[in-house]
Amino acid sequence: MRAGLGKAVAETHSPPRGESQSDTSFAAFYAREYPRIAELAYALTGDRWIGEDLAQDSFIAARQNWAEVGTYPAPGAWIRRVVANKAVSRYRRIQVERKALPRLWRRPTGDTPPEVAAEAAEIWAAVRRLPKRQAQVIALTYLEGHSLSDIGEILQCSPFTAKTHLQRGKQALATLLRANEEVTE
Amino acid sequence: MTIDQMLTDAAESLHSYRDAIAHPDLDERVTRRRQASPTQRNLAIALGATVLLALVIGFAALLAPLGDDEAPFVEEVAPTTVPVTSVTSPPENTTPPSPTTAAAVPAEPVPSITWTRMELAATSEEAALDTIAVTEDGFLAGGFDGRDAAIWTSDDGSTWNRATLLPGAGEADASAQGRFAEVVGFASLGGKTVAVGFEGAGEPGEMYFGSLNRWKNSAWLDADPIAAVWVSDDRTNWRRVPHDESVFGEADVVRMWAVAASDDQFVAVGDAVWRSSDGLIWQRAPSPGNTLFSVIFDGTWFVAAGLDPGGLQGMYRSVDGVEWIEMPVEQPSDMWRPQPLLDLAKVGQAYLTVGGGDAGRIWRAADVSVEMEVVFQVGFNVGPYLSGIAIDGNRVAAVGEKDFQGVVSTSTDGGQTWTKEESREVFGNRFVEDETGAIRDVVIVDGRIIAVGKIGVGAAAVWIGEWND
Repeated sequence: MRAGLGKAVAETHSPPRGESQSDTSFAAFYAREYPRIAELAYALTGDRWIGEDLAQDSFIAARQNWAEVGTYPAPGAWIRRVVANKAVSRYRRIQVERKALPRLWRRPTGDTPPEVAAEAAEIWAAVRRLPKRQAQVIALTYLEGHSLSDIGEILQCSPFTAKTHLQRGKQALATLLRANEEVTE
Repeated sequence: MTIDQMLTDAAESLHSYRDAIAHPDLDERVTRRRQASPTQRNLAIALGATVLLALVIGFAALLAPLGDDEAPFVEEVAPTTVPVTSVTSPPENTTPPSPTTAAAVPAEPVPSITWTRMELAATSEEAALDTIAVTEDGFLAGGFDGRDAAIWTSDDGSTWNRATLLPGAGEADASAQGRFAEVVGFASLGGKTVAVGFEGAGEPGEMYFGSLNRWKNSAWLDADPIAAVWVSDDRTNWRRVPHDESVFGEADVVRMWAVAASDDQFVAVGDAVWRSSDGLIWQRAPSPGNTLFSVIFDGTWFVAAGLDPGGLQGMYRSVDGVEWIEMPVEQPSDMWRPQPLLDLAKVGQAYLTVGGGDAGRIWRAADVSVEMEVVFQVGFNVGPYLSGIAIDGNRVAAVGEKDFQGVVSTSTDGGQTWTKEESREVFGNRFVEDETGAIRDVVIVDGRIIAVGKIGVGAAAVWIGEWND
């Protein structure tokens, strides 16, 4: 049996790029990370509302357990792993999707962030069709500029494995997008 | 343009979203979950009064904390051992008995329950059980194994054997078509047993609740589901009823979610209502509500529950499966997500129904003439739901999932007061992906609770609980 998620991450992670250990309050963590985490979740789920649901629930869980999560060397890596895994895991996606139903049903009427360009949406849709590790590595690389070393720590794999996922993901993505172009033509 | 450049541009496009996104108030989000309906506020008052009374008379045991929403997020995980004796807490929510309630409230302490869990052998890496039914000679459990629908049979609830499912004449299994199929309900009539469910594109298991999204015209899934019926004379060998597009398809989303039988007909519900006298030839009519997820026959009425046309909780009854009468259901005031009613049962003259959404609630009505009122809820955190309820005398069990862990709530007074049972060792552990749990359905026979669902991503699981009294 594997160890608990948080503990396993805490044992292995160092702070990802840009993560300061000087301010360990949850408020600072939330202020700094929420937009990035919501963006990551959006990219990997394909739905803004589902992504925000997932991100907010993850931050609520982090806050409830901040006494422990806040002591991790890299809480930012921890929440990225939680969200990246939840977003791509089919089983968990079902749960998030179920929870997000009313968000789709009763969307906020106030100001909302701009829509993503159609071309970009198509590329992210193709990324989501990749095997989950490849999709995660591509999202972490291109959205946040993480190094292979950072990604290995976030996803608990070696940098070499992360590199393999990245290369294979890009190759598969090229094939997918080429096929889309051929169908369109 | 290179893939690198395309991805960089795609990321920059998403950054415009990121840069514009506001930080939502997490407190407001949590508060919204915790808003109680008037009935729930009354329940809280009643609970407070009960606790005060308990203090006066010295029943300190009643002071157990409510729920576990603030449970530690990370904990040491003990090895799974079965059988496991659950720690049964005192009733957490107590409602005063209704004047119209016939069932008596027991005075004795609530007995504990000993639980065991077993995982059924499957042929694929992803299987789950969605439904269980009691038959003349044992039990039936249905769900999926890989891409194909699957049925298991058991004489005693402990030993399970895989039944044979054959496709309709001239047709192929779902997996052979690159589709998937799932069994979600059973009913028997005149020596014939039917299993109902659906077949669709996409991935196995995604149809269960994910398909609701399609109902809301989301592009999340593109499963194009069709209703499916299997028929058996011996409950061991099953044959799919050949697909008839005019009966089982045609609309964008057509699924059967449940079936019940009276003395002379089967009635199935889902995105429509179907009737059949022999299980082979079916007639379809529009649903009286929206999607319906459960139907029972109580000796007089077919009673169905799900969503009403407006997407709120809907419950309907009919003597013939043709003309349906809407039944009043309390709509919780915190309903900012759909909370479909997923299963129902009848005890004496009382009806009980359970549902999903943010709270995993149980509704109860003393009889058919009064409104279904919320009597219990599992919790608020991370979208719990209850999807199954079963009754045996005054003993009731409701099952579901809360935050990737199976949930069981039990009652020994006909559903008036409830005890919530949660055990990570038995019902699933959200912190270990291979040990997450979801319990879908339940029956009670001879004092034993038998529930079905899944453990981890791909293990079909059966739980057996025995009251210790």
